[in-house]
Parts: sequence; C-alpha cells; structure tokens
Amino acid sequence: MEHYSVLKLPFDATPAEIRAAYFDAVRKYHPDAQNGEGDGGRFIEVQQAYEVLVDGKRRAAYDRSLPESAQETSATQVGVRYSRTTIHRSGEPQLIYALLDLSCTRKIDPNELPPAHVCVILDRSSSMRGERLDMVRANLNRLIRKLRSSDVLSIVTFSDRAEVLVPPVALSDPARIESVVMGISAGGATEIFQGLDLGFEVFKRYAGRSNFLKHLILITDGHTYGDEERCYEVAERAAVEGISIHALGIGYEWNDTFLDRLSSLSGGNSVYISAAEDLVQFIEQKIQSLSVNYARKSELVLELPEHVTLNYAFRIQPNVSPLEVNFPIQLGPLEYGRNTSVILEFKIDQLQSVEPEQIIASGRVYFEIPSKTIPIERQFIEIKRPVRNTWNKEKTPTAILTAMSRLSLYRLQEKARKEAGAGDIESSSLHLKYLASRFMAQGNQDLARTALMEADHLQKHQRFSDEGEKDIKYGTRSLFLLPDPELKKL
Amino acid sequence: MIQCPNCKHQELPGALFCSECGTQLVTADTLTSPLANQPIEPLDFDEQESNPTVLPAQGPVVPVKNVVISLHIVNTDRTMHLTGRSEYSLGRIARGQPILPDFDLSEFDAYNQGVSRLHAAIKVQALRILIMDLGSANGTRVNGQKLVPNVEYPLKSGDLIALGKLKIEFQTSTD
Repeated sequence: MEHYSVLKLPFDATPAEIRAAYFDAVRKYHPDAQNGEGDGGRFIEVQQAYEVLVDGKRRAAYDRSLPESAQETSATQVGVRYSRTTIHRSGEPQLIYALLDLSCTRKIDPNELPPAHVCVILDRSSSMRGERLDMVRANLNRLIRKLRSSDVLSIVTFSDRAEVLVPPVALSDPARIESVVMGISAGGATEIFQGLDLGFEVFKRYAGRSNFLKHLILITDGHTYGDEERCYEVAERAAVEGISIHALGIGYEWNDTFLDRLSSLSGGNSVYISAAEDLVQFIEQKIQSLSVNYARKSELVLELPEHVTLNYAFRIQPNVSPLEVNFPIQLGPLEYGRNTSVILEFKIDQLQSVEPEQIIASGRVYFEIPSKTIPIERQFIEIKRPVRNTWNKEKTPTAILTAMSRLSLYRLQEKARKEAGAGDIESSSLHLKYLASRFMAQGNQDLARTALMEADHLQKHQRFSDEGEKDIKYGTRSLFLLPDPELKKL
Repeated sequence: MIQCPNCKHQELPGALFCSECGTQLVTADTLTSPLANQPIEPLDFDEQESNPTVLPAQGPVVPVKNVVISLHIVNTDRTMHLTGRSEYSLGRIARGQPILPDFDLSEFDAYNQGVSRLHAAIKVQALRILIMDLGSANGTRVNGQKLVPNVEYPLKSGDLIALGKLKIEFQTSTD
C-alpha cells in the first residue's frame, strides 16, 4: 500500500508530522496495543511506511516512483475573515469571531468525481407503520432512481435488532431493489445502536473500493434508550473512516439533542422531517451534493493559547449544524463550487502581552479527497490579530454580521431550551418572547407565533412541547438557507 | 463590558448581538442599499418662512422634536400627524400581537391591502428623515421603488409610500 496513505499523511508532510502520525498509528495498530485495534498486517505496513518517509533520501526516491498525479498541487483553500480588524490590550475578557471558508479552487471534471456508497439505516419500529413508512419507501425509490450507475447503495433496517436488507450493490438493477424496499414491514421497538452498528459494519466489509464517498443516512421516528453512548462511539469511528452520518427525525417524538450530537461527531447534520416535502427536499439536495462532492471529509485541529477559549462553533453552510467543540472538529464533506463556512467564537480572557500581534489560534485543516492518489491534504491556518491599546469602535463585515444575526437567534433558542431543562421557566419563557420579537422584526410571523405559543405552553406545563422545540430549532436553522438580504441588489 | 441598549444586559466587548434579547450591537461595514449612495436630501422646509441666507451650507439643523410628519392616506380624506418622537413604526394591530406599531393602519383596510403587523419604520434625524421596511410580507415602495428590507432610505416631502397596496403620501413640516 502507498506509504503516505498508510500514515494518513499529505504529500508535503513535515518530518514532525510524519513522526506524530507514526506514533498515532503505532498506538492504534501495534499487536500489543492496549486499546488499539491490534492489526499485525497493518502494523508492518506502518513500520515500512515510516522507515521510508522519515529518511530524506529514501523519501525522495519514493516520491519519484509515485505517479505524477501524486504531486499535483493542492486545490483546497481555507480563508479566514474576522469580526474586528484589531483586538485590544485589556485585563477584561473580549470576544472575537472568525469565519472560516473552506473551498475547492479547481474546476469540476465529471470524470474525476468519485462514486458514492450510500447506506440507508431505516427504523422499522412499529411507530413507522403506515404513512411514515410509505413516505420513506417512496423516497428511497427516488434515491435509487437518481443515484449514478457507478454509485453503490445498501439498506439496513432495524427495530430492536438489525438486518441487512440490501447488501452493497451497484445500481444496475434498480427495479429489483425497489421491490425489496416495497417489502419492508414495520414492527418492534427502536434501538438505534443496533442499526447504526450494522450499517458501519456494512461499510467496513465493503472495503473493496476505498475511494468511495461514504454517506450514512439514519432515518428514525423515535427515542432510543440506554445505547446513546455506544452510538456516539460508532459515530466517532465513522468520522475516522470518512463516513458522514446524516440523521433524519420523522415527526417529533425523537431526541434532537442526541441526533445532533451523533451527526456532528461525524461531520453530518440532523434534519427534521415534519412533512413528506422535507424528505423529498433532503433526498434531492443529497443527490445534488453527492454529484459535486470533492473531499469526503474535512476536519479542523486548533491549538489555543492558555487564555483563549473556543466558545462555539457552527457550520452555516452547506449542512447547517452546530459543531462539537472537541478537536478534531469534523467540518463535513467539501463540495465543488460551494464553500463550507464555519463561524467560530473565541473568548480572550485577558491580553497583557506587549507583542504587536496576538495569535488567537493556530492549527490545520485536513481534507480527505478520494479522487487523489494521495488523498490527504492539509492547510495550515493561523487566526491572529494586531493588538491595540484602545478599543476602537468599528464596523463589522456584512458576511459575519449576517451569519451572526441568524446564529444569535439559534443560540437564544438553545439558551431557552437549556433553561427550561434546568427548571428556570421564567428565564426560558422570557427568552422565547425575545426570540418571538426578533422573528417578528424580521418578518417571520410563523416562527414568531410558534415561539409565543411555546412560551405559553412552557408556563402551563413547565416544559417545552416535543413539537414546539423542534419547530423553533429547525425553523431557526432554516434561516441560514435564506438568501442573504444584501445579495438582492446584485 | 458593553450594555445592550434594548434590555440592558451586559456583554463582553466584541459581542455582535445581545445574548439575552438578540439585539444587534454593532453596525455593518457597507451601505447595503443602492439608494443609500445617493446624496441625502435635507428636510424640505417652507422656504418662505425661513431666510436662506442665514442657513448653514448643508441646511438648517432643526431639533428633532419640532419635526411634524404628515401622512395622507391616498384615496381617503384622512391625514395623520406624528410629532414628538424620533421613530415611528407603521403597521396594523392584530389580536395576540406582542409588539404594537406606533401608528395603526387597521382602519384603512390594512389587512386586505397587504400591510404587515410591523411593516415599516420612519426615523427622524437632525438633517433627514429615513424609512426602513421591517421585513414586511408584501414589501414597501417609495415612489414605486421597492425597498430592501431593514435598510434605511431617505424620504422627502411629497414622496409616495406604498405599504403593500396601501398608498400614503408623505409630508414634513416644522412647528
């Protein structure tokens, strides 16, 4: 196997990166490793790769032996925009926002696009019976008809146990798969771990073509009990393999906090299916995004100085989702022609240094690009600002202000949910009312009404309604999909 | 710390929106409206009463409280006069509404004319009067030109404002 890929290194890896990657791999694959996978064959590959790459001469000779395509220049780019031009020297904490834009600078060559393996994990518990299952069947058939002939589909169904309904197959005979889909019947309880784990196994067993894009779509309508932690573990392993999990909740009796965490751990997002159109829209958008998918995963690793904290991370495009603030942060797939945009809120506790410039965070963004000979690309980023002694009033870049105008509402509903959870009904309902005023001021009458009704419900029942909490949360998220008001002038 | 002008909540310097009530705490870096780049007309004063020779070059500075805004609802004989404030919101009052507009247009069949509950705001500043659409469902036009929501546009005496289909003629004067 190709040495750089064995160690998951970019072609331009530095000696320090090579050593770090080697130690990581040893911990994972050494036959005596405590918590690793103990894979003897893999361990020998790791050893061989390291011995070649760490030695400058042998590495140069090895590089010459690689096909020319291995040396092609990077087509990924990471841009940073800031909420302020400067930060200020102060004993008092301050906030600064950075908007990261990940983009692919190369033009699309359809032949270069890798095929996708889509695994659908479908909850077939008894609550899915009837309309819901009909809706899912119809949309699975839509997916089957629209995937490319080079793509691969697999379907896992689960209730309190899971089975592989359709093993990974190329879509040469869609009619046959459609007939299997029509035969799905409902029954049993919901144990998400069963389905998720089997779905992940399906990906692992189908390792024949490693350059696939890997998408896992979990469709459920219920709560799972007691297996959440095991689900998170699967999601973390999926992230390592470059599998992104999209979690779709049908109706409103499911746990959005759980599905959010599950999907964001792997770079995906959760989607609220309140009506059949939502599912149609998701499938259409998924097919569209598969056809322009460049990197199957991207992740962010940052090092922060002691007095700086990353308060919040949120992806505003393409799949709107809060991100887990644990490094590496999974940023999800990167598409051709559409940036992945992430907003970060940093808090600087105090700034006493006399240096004219302060590093707020420094680190790397990794991309995994299946179409490349050496699939890993790495971009260094440095988030830093000049330091001034005084606090100057300044105007905020429109892109950041637009993003934050929506994010501030999202965080307001998060705050209200948290307060209600902690029993602080008064604060929670006050925040819902503020939220309603904001929605109203933006002309979002429906959301404003929903928020007010929820405040009412909260006063009466001391908790959010299942329906209201999702309507407000995903309604606020959908604001990010609206065209920016300032674009209208163009 | 900085204080939110709306709810008085304390925020860290660098915050862009109030974490308590969502109020915007900073201004954007670009004028987003195409009209905003046009020269801004000073208030239209009755020139017979004021002596132009003593006025400063950019027009008279008139205390805000002295400006009277007259809104004539077209096709009716009604004219509303607004005075004493620096900002007026226009809309219609409906049941269960949390924020009421300063100037209720319900009696002019506002609902059927497509007026939103909070439709537009008129702001009086020292040298000019501005109008801003508040993200209404059917939009606001000034002399036929559609306004980009949440962007301020200058208004001058004689302008024709349309809130949805409801037409209003705008006049200003001073006390």
